[in-house]
Amino acid sequence: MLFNSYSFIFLFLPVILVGFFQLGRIHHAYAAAWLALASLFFYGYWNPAYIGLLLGSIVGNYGFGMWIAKAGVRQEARRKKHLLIAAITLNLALLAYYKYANFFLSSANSLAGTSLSLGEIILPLGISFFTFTQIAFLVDTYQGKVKEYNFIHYLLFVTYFPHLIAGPVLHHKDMMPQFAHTSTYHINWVNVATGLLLFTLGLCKKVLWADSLAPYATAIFDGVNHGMTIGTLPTIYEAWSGALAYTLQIYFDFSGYTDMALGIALMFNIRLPINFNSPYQSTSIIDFWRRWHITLSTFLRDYLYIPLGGNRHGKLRRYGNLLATMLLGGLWHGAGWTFVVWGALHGVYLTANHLWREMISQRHLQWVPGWMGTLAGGALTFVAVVAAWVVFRADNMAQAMVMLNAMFGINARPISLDAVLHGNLLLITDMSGRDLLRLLLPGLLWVWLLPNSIRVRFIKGGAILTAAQIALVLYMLFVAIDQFGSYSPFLYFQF
Amino acid sequence: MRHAKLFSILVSVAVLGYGAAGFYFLPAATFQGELTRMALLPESLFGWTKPQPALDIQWMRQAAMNEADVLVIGDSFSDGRIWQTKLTRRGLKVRTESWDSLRGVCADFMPWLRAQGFAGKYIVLESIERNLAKDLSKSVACQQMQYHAHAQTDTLRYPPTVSFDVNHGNYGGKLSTGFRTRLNVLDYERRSQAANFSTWTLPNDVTLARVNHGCDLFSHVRCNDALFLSYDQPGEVESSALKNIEILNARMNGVTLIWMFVPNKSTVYLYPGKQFWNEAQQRYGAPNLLRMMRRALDEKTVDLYPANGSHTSTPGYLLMGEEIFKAMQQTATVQL
Repeated sequence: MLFNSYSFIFLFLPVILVGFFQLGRIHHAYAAAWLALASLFFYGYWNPAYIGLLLGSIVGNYGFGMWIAKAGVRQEARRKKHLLIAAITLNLALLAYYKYANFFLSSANSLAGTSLSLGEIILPLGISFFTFTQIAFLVDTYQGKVKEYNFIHYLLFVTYFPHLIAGPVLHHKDMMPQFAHTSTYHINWVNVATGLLLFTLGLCKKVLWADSLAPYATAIFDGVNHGMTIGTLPTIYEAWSGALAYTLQIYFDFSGYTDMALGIALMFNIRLPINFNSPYQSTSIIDFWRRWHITLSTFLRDYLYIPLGGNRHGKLRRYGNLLATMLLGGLWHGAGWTFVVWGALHGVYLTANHLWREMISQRHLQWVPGWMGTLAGGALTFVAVVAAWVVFRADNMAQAMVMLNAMFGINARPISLDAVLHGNLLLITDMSGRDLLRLLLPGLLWVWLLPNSIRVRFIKGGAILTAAQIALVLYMLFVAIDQFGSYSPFLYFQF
Repeated sequence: MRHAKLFSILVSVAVLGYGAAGFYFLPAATFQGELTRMALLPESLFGWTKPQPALDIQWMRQAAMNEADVLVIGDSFSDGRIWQTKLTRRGLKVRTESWDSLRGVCADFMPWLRAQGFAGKYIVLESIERNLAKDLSKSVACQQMQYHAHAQTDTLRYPPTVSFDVNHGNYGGKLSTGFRTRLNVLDYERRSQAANFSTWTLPNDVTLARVNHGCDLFSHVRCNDALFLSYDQPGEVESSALKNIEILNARMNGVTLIWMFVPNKSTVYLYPGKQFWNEAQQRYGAPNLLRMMRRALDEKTVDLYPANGSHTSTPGYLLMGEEIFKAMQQTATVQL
């Protein structure tokens, strides 16, 4: 079930919301169980076969968590560590089988010239998210940070439907206390109102922006692929158009999903962590990773980069750790070399950014006015991020290189000035370059200039202000809902 | 808290109310034809009901340029590779390209075509009446071929629908479309009751018109009325077209050129007196598709053009294909 579907908006969400608060009046355990069951139904709506896998993962990890916690009580440090390693290994093995087995097998096949096969393995939705969420739980249990072990709350923490499929990556210490709090189960109209506003904004980002840009990005990348088979290169305009269309598409898609998730969760009095903070306004790559998919970055920092040694063992080791973390972060997104290269590219960017700061900007560029540094840093960061998205979106590295070469004028098909003036910018597709420009320009202004959606609040005031907010939300909902009609999943569902 | 409660309740009630009303009307908004989709009129009133002949996909295969006997350059009437089955069934290998890809039959067309590997004998230039003058003048003005490949050119084509349920509703469309379709039906019922009703101009360039003896010619429920494109003109095709045919004929060295001028739906049903096809036949031997179609209507061919679409039905395509094959036989330089 998609957030941007009739069944979710008109049936699932109202029924679950009303049921939750009605049951909350009787006992909060009933309401929590209702929400957990609803979340399982939400997950099973795609493929009921994988509910067993999800439940197995939850029961297994909960069991290991309890085991580790009890071992901790008895001060059996070695046993505790062995249990942790076993539990993490099982989680990673599950992830490796479903997500990476065929990728590694095909890579091995191409190296060894063999044709080994495991057949088609269907990727269970959200497996990366629920696996990582639970690994964090196990590690924190091992470190003695976990205080609550109520199974229903744990089940809800993992399956809670707003975040289950595409995040944010949750941390039990942020979630379990909220599920334990009695006030969560009583309706809070301010939270419902703010949740509705946030949900509406996210829905508009998804269906009005991301879904409008998607056909252009797809057509241009497909056109480049087709061009490669017949020896036609893209022009510089086509390459930049495709790259920018995808850059905006992935942001509006994923941040739209996150806004919706945060809004829905808030209606249930649950606050999910912020996942985006206007990432395209970043002034450096370091800044970018503090603003883009924040919960994943935090997870990778806490559970990969720091355990690897972080910055505690010298600069060389630090940059090695950074590179390894980003490389694995890339692989987390999908089983493909383009994702690995995308991660590695960001690892290199981050390393270069740290080196630049330490060796040049902090020593020799103190005289540069702040605004100039911000502007130059912002522009350079944006171009670097766009270039990396090309690798991320491309079907293979050959296609990525054709796009990048064309973007930077290294090897592009020439285009006449007349064609540019007449807006015939997208010759490799059937689509209008002018129409794309009409989307790209306001889209770029939005991501560069507008404040972040985390500032959205229901504004308490008089009746006129309330009426204005009602009118605005109803108009936005009407426009967004009227775009429904075709299946349009979120990009991050595949990760 | 009071205002937040008011806000939440009012927004929720409005959204759920809109959803409930929208779903009540949504099933009517399930469209099969492009004209019913554009005009927002239901298939239950304007969807064709007589099954159409089935085609075998094997005859719809696209030939490679270097193996083709016939090159077709056309628009959406050729893109489905339906009429071409009349040629492929007879053993001819047909390659279909679009005007969009070629951007015209330019001055250097023949050397360009030979360089692409085409060794066939026949070229069919197909154009729908409403684009005909523009297609021809663009070609005449064009000096150098600039081919723009389309990924879909060589993809598989599937046989057209044989039948469909005009009352089949789905709940996947836009909610507002259901409302607007319902309003259009009410408007149509009111207008069509008038004794002097003849036409109704709908949004998105669609006109609904009453057709003489319509129930002999269409299978849909409201068979006296059919949908047409508003911008199809009752007037003659521009006179420059005939002159341009001559110029383009002169560019075709070493091949037999067949002109395929598809008449607009409105020309066939509402304005059949146009002379362009007679003149093109007399001067350049172009198959007279308008006369062929009028003959089919005289023989009470049902749904030659279905009421809900601007393209011909499968029988219409096959009749055109037969006409083109006959033209090829008449001009044959090789035994077909």
